[in-house]
Amino acid sequence: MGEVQAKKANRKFNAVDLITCVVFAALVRVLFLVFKMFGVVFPFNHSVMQMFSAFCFVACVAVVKKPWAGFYYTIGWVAIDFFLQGEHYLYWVYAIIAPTIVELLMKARGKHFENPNDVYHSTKDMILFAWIYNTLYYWFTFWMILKIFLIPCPTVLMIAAYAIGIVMTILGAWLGMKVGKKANKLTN
Amino acid sequence: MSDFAVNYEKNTWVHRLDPRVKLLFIVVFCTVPLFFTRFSYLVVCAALAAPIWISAKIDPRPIKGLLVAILVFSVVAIIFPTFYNYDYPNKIILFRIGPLAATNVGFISGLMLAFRAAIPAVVALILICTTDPAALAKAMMKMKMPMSVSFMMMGALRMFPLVSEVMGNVRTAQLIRGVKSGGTKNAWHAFKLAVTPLMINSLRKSRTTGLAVESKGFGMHAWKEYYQEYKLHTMDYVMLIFCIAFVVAGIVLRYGFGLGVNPMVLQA
Repeated sequence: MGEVQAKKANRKFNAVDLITCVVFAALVRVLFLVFKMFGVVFPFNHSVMQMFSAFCFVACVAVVKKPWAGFYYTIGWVAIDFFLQGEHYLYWVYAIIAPTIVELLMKARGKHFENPNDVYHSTKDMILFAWIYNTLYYWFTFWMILKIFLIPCPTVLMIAAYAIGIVMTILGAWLGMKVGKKANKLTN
Repeated sequence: MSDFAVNYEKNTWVHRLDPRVKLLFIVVFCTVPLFFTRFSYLVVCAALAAPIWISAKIDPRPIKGLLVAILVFSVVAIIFPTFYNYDYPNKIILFRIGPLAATNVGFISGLMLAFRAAIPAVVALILICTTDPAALAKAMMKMKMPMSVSFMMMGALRMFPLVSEVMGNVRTAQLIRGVKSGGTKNAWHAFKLAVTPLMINSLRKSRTTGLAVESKGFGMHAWKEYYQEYKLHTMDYVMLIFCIAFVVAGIVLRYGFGLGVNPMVLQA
C-alpha cells in the first residue's frame, strides 16, 4: 500500500493540481491586500506577511500532496506580483531557487518516512519547511528593498521584524495545516 | 475587487499589440526607472508610459482596488523615508511629530521611491487590462516557456479576480453578521472566520476549472495546439524599437554620462 501511495505521490501534475496551486497563490495576494497587514507599519507588515505566506504554502502542499506543489505555488504568486504590480524581474530568481531548496529538503525528509507521502501530513515538518521558505523569502525581499529599491530600513528593525515573523510563520503554518486537512475532507 | 475582462474587448492599437511585445514593455519599464534616483528623470519615465496608458482607453473602475493599492503603497513609500534619519549634513527639518523629524532629504527620497514603485505597477496594468490571459499564455509558449508554467501564469491572472470575488462575498457576509475588522484584534478574528469558507469555495471553483481543462486534453498536451499565429506587425516593431531605444537611452544617461542620480539619495 505504501509503495502504491509513494508512486501516486510522484505522479505528474494535472490541471486540477496546477489550478489548486494557483488558487493558493491568488489567496496569499488577496489576503495581503484585504487585510492590509492588519494595519501594521513597515517593516513589521512583513512579519504579518510571513503568516499569510506560511499559511498558504503549507495549506497548498497539504492539499495537493505532490512534490513540487510549493514550486508551482511560488511561480503562481510571483506571476501575480509581476502582472499586477510590475514586480522586479529579479524576483523570478527567488521564485526558482527558494521553493526548489524547500522541495529538495521535503524530498529528502520524505525518505525518512515509510511512505514518503507522509511528510505532507507531518505538522512539525511542515512548520520547519515553512520557516525555511519564509526565511529565504524575507531576506531576499529585504535585500531587494535595500539594494534594488533603495528603501532605507535600520538593521535592528529588520531583525526584530524577522523575529516576530518566525512566530507568525509557526502560527500560519499550524493554521495552514489544520485548514488544509479540513479542506481535503470537505472537497474530496 | 478586479475584473480585467471588462477592458479586453476594446480594439485599440495597444490591445492589438503582440503579447510578447507587451511583456517586453513591462520588463523594460520595471527596469529602467530603477536606474535613476533623480525625481525629474522618473517623471520623464512616467510621462513616456502615459500616452500608451491613455491610448489603451483603460476603464479604471474595474481595477479601482488595484489602483488604490498602488496609491496606498506609494504614499507609504513617501511617508517612511520622510521620517527616516538620513545621515546627510545639509538636510533641512521640515516639521516634527514627537521624536520624528521630517526632512527635505527624506521627502525627496520618498517621492523617488514612490515613483519607482508606481511606474512598473501602473505599466503592468496596461498588459493585464489589454491582453486576454489565454493569448498571453499562448504567446509565452511561443517563447518556449514550459506549458505548465505558461498555464500557471494564465491561471494566476484568471483566478486572482475569482478568489477576490469569493473574498468579497465572505467579507460581505461577515459585515451582515456584524463581524468587525478594524484594529489588529478584530482583523485577526475576521481573518480566522474568513479562512475556511474562502478556501473551500476557492478550491471548489478550482476543481471545476481544473476538470474542465483536463477534459480538453491538458494532460495529453492537446492544450499546446492552437490555431492562432503570432506574427509581429508594424506597431509591434515600432513598440520594440521604442523599448530598445528607452533601455539604451537609460543606460547611456545613467552609466555613460552619470546623469539621473540624486547625490542626496546616494549619500543616504
